[in-house]
Amino acid sequence: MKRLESNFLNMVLSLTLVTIVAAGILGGIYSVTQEPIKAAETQKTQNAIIKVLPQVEGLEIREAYTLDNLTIHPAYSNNELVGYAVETDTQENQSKPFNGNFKLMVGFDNEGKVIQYSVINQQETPGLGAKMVNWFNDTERPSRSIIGRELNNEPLKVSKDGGNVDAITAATITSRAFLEAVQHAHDLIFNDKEQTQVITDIIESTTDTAEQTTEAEQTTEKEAENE
Amino acid sequence: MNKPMNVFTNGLFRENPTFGLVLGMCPTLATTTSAVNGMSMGLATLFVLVCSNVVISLLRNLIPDKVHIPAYIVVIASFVTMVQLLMQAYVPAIYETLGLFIPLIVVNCIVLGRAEAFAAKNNAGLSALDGLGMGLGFTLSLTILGAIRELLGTGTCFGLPVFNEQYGMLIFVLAPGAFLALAYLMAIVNKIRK
Repeated sequence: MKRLESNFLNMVLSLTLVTIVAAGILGGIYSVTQEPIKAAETQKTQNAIIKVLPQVEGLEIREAYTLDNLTIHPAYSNNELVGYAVETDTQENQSKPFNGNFKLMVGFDNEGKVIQYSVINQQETPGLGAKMVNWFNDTERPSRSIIGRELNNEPLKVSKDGGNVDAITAATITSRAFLEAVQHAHDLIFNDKEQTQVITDIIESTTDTAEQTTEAEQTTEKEAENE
Repeated sequence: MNKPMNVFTNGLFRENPTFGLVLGMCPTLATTTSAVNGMSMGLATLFVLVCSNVVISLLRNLIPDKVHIPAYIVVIASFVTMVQLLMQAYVPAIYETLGLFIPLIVVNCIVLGRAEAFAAKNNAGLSALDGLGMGLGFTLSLTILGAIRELLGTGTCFGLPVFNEQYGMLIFVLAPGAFLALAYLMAIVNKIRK
């Protein structure tokens, strides 16, 4: 078969056909993969939440709420608040990361102690800044680990800036941004007494609404029965 | 020359995309920070290369000469998007590390280069073989380069520790080390080839 001649009609037709077919196939694949992609993302956030919260029995993560652009997931055990998992990022940082912004999930207990953290996404340099994924939770090296630290009185700072956390070797910029993001999440919940009150109110109101809805539902059911 | 076996081995060694043709240097340098990353990038490219070679070879007589490049790019870009969506959905962990570089396969000169130089002139079977050979050659060189950089930079090989990390030469994980390792590898390969 000879190759088609390069005249106007042939060119327009062949290009249009190629793009239409490509668009159709891609549309199909998109609709098939949309669900698994969403599921994978939710799964990732869920895993991060569970990783950073205390490992207690009957852990229950209640509905999340947003405060100052940060998402907070309150955790309960036997109807008692046991901690928070906070999705924090470097968006509002003074010290920016080396490369773009990164997102963390940090877990705190009731008193503001760091339980654990998990890096949700980051674009720091591999071998340098990217080491933050497991640099600050190495409990065998207390000078760099932030696990179990109380951030109320002593804000997190790298030792170079007068703090007591060892920065990642040759990645001080990343370390600064990381610690600031963690501290920011902590301060948002614990430092400001009013803020803490607001959070407690939000939590209580969501719990109340949940109860009210159940009551309302029950009433409707009763009414339905009466009718 | 167009015997199937020749076509296949061509890409593996004699015209190896990285060391012979010196094509696709951007992903070669950027993704080979570890052996696994290099290999995954190579395999993703392999898939796109085989698929686009077959489709382009089937379409080669239906596309007029003057618009062949836009048409080829559309075909290649579709396969890349497909790979990206599928990886994101079913292997999110690998997608995470390579995410940034997957879209770049579209502009990887190997893919368009093979479409132009081979698939546009040969039948679908041979084109598939060519894509497979080239893709495997690319995967192989990326894996070797990644393994060397990982070993010298962090003291691990495929994630397994070989020696203590503190003796690793950090420069090999960074861009300058990529150029160094690539240059030495290329020199060695060229010496053997002659």
